[in-house]
This record gives sequence, structure tokens and C-alpha cells, in this order.
Amino acid sequence: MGTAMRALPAESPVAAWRRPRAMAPAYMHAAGSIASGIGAGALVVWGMRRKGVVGKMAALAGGALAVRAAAAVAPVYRDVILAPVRIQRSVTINKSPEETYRFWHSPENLPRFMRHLVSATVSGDRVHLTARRHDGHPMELDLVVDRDVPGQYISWHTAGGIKSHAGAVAFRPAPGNRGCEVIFEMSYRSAIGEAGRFIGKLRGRDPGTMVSGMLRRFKQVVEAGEIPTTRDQPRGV
Amino acid sequence: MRAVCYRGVNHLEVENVPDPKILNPHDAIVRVRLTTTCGSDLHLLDGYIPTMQKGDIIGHEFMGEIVETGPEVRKVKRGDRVVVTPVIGCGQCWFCENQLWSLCDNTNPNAGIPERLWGQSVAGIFGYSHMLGGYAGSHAEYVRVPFADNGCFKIPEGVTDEQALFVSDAFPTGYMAADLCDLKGGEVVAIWGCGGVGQMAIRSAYLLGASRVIAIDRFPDRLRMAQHRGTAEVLNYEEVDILEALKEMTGGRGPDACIDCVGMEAHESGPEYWYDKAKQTVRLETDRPIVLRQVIHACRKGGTVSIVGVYGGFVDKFPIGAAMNKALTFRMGQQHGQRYAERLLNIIREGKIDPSYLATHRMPLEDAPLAYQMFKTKQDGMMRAVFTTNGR
Repeated sequence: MGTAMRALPAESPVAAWRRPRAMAPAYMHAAGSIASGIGAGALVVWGMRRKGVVGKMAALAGGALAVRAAAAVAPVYRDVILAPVRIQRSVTINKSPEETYRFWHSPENLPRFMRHLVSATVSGDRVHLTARRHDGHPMELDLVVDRDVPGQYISWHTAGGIKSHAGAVAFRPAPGNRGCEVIFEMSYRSAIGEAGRFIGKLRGRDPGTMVSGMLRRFKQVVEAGEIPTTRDQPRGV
Repeated sequence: MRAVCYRGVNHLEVENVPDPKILNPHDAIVRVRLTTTCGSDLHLLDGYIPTMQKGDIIGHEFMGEIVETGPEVRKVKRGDRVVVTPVIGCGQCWFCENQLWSLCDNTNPNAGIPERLWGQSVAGIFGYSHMLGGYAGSHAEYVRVPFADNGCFKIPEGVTDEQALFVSDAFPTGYMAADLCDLKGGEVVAIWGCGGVGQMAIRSAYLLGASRVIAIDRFPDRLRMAQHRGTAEVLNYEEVDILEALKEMTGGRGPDACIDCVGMEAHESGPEYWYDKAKQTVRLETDRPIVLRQVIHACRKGGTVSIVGVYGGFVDKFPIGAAMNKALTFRMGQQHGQRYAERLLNIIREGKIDPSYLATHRMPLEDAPLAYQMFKTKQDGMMRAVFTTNGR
């Protein structure tokens, strides 16, 4: 039961992407650097406005301090702001894990529940995705399948590109004849990290909500054979 | 086509809207023959259920004729005379398979809203706010019915349109209210609210084995109907203290089962009403639990409380102490119509119950705004207004 209790095996790429620990001292150092960076900036501005040698010297000194502060802040940007965002969402489907896995595993089914996905084609351990972006432009993405255990588990990572992420989906029997628990996990680095995630949430476009929606549509297609809709139904003006 | 559209709080208009089309493979289009008012519509019109939008077509209790079916519809076909359940069920999820149709996982296109509000989503319902799916309702000439094979029930020969109409909602809701009491025979059942659902709960409680049914309301014509058509003993809460009366009528025990057919906009003659009305108005609570409190107080120890009156959000001063210490059983829910429809059509065909007496007023669809005003204020002894379409 030990491994069955886990949503994902320990060696999953998602697990390997977890946030590094024990960074606190560096962050505290960085906080000081941000403060000194602001002071340095002020010094530059003051120096540039002032005529004469004193002003030039002050601006130069301020510039040097600013560079030093930026160097200290850089690792924080890398480790905190750029830290991988991890998302996990689950849904229970009233079908066997084998059947549920099979549906997900068939590339022609993916566009039925992944919004914006136009097509998915498989060659060897690679999956080529064509999607339509929000602005309508096409987007191409290649995935490398890392593990594929029939009826149980699929994991992948992106082969380069701006939307890089690692993901995994696990299928396990639900207790009491309730079908299959589907656990979807993904992890990605974003240039604006948690802040971007928060902004996305305000716009209703955060990845967590999108993953929940995708799993809901997956369930609807697998169980009911259609996605419920009210689009284009009559209504008063 | 013509349709009754929500325009704002207590403001309805009959408008020209496009005809519905098949949108999904399990859809059917039903030409509406009869569609009726339901007390729960009043919660929507009064603005107590959020997510209503201007232009929404209301109505959910209806019967009619199938005029078109999607490619995956197998059981029903064009020309079938059908009654339709208001709750939409996919038939494939765990809940539908276990006959818990109003809990269907797959029929609410806006599942995210109830998930945030209630933890999980429930089934979509026709004409019943966007939180519950945003489906166009039945107060129209045509309606699109998703998962038609599960929601449309063929009306047997010998059952009239008007009898079958109430198998859509009032009858199964009342029947389920009694069914949830798990009657073994010989019980005393008290029922709060003598609208369409309450009237059906009275008849169903007797059918399922109750030896006495006590019905509570304040409108004399509704109490008369409960007495004459339902053979219930009746109590007018404006004339008697309900808790005292129920105790006296049951030898001090209290009713074995208590049914709430009222819900979130309960009324009472004392100061408690104004307390809850004030809190509700400023949204300190969304629902007025006046009946709920009485039901819990009145119920005998170890008895069953059955709730089919609609609640939407939060209540205040909920007597959990009485409920817990008296070891009450709580059963509740939106009706699982698909579980009961065939059984109820048979009950009608066999002549055991004829629900058509609920149809006190028959009006053209064009008069719906007026009908809802009368329905809200219970004018002219209105129990239910039944709308006909196409001038029939």
C-alpha cells in the first residue's frame, strides 16, 4: 500500500521540481540589498541632477551600489519569483482505471476536453501538440513522455518552448466501487511566478482553475459522452 | 417563439426569442403544451437566489411533445407525449446510477459556482439561475431538453396532460418528502406549507403508511384543499400556537416525522418573522429558517425531519442543540424526479391520486407576469397557474 497511497511515484519529474529549501538567510540578505538598492538609485538621481564633480562622483558611487544590490537580489529572483508553481487537482470518474487511462492515452481524445488544443500526434515517446492561443494564433508544443504505465500513470515534460512544464496524471481505483480517481499534477516555472498566478486568478485564468475545468470536462466526456452547454440557447435581450 | 423572461427582481416580461436548437447529441426539443408556476420560482424572482441574469427564460415544471431529437437519443422519439423532470441527469455518473439524480455530476455547465459556494456542484435545473446551470426554462413554446432519454417520460394512455404535468415537479417533490420519512406504517406526519408540493406530500404520506397527517399554513383556501382533497387535519399558524397544538394532538410526543415544504422565505405572524426578514434584507442571513426551527422543535425524539422547501445559503439561530439532543434524522434535497416519475404516472393511471386539482388557474403564456403576481400574493385562491402555449 505504501506507494499506492502516494498520488505520484517519488521519482516523478514533478517531485524533482519541488522548491529548494533552507533559503531563508539568503532572502533576508536580499531584503537588505533591496533597501540599499533603493538608496543607491536615489543617490544616482541626486548626483545626476547636481552639477560639478561632487554630483558625478555621487552618481558613480550610486551606480556601483545599485549593481551590487542587483547582484544580491538576482538569486532571490531566480529562486523565489521563478520558483516552480505546482498544481494538483483530482476528480473521480465512474469507470475503471483501465478505461479511464485508455481514453486519456488516445491522442485523438485530448482536444475533446483540453480547451484550445487543436490536435495531438504521437511519434515514439514524443507528443506533438497544436493549440490555439487566446489571441487565435496557433502554438506548437512538443512533449516527451517520461513514464507510461498502462492503466496507472503517465508523466511527461516539455521539450523546450515558452510554455515549459512537467506533468503527470495517475489513475487509481476509488474505494467502494466508485470508479477511478484521476490525479493530475503539473509544475512549471513562470517569469512572474506567484505574482503572475495571483493576477491570473483575478482574471479567472489561473492554472488551478483551468486544470479543474479540464478534469471536469474529461469526466463529462468519459462518463456522459458530452460536455453540458447553454451556449447559443435562446434568451431575452 | 414567445418566452417568459426575467428582467429584474419581481419583473417578468413575455418576449420574442429565437427557437431552441439541438446543441448536444443527447438533446431533444420539446414543444411545450403545459408549463406551471412553482413556489421556488418566487425565490428567484424575489432576488434571493443569486446569479439570475436579465433575459433568462424561467419555468421548470412542464409537459409537451417531442419534436426533434439529437443523434444519441434512443428511448424517446418525435411525437412522444412526455412529462419532463426539472432536474437534468446524465444517467452515467455515480449519483445518477444510485438514483440520486439531483446530485448529477455532469449536467451543470457552471459547476464552478456551486463548487465555491457549497463545496461540490449539483445537477443543472431548467430556468433556475446560472448557479444551477443557466438552462433556458420551460415558460416558452419550445424548450431544449439535455439528456432527453433520462428526463422525458412517456405519458401513458388514459393520463391527461394536466394530470401528467405535476409528475414533473410538485408530485415527485411531495412524494420524495414523504419517502424520505421512511414511514413504516402508523406514523403521525406534520407538513409545513400547503402549496402544490405540500398538497402532494399529504397525499403521498398517507399512501406510504401514515395514519395521521397534520397540515400547516395560513391561507384558508389552501388549508381547505388540504382538508378536503388530502383528508389532512389542518392548523392555521395565525390562529394557534403550532408547537403547542402539535404536542396536544400527539399526546405530548410530537409528530414522528416533520416535513418542511416552505423553505427560505418562510413567514410567521410573530416578531420572529421581522427578526429574520431584517437580517435577510441586509444579507446577515440569506434564508429565513422560521419553519426549520419549528420543525426541529416540534419533531418527536428520534424522529425524522424531511426538507424539500428550497434553501440557498445560510441561516441564523439554527437550533442544533435540540436537533442533536433529540437525536433527529435529517433527510433533504432537490427532488430526484427520474427515480419517481414512472411510479407516479402509474399511481395516477390506477386512480390512486389525481394531482390535477392543483391547477386552479389556466392562463395563456402571455399572462405569465400577471399570474406570478397573483401567485406571489396568493390571490383568488391560486394554487398553481398552468400556462398554455400557442393559444391552446
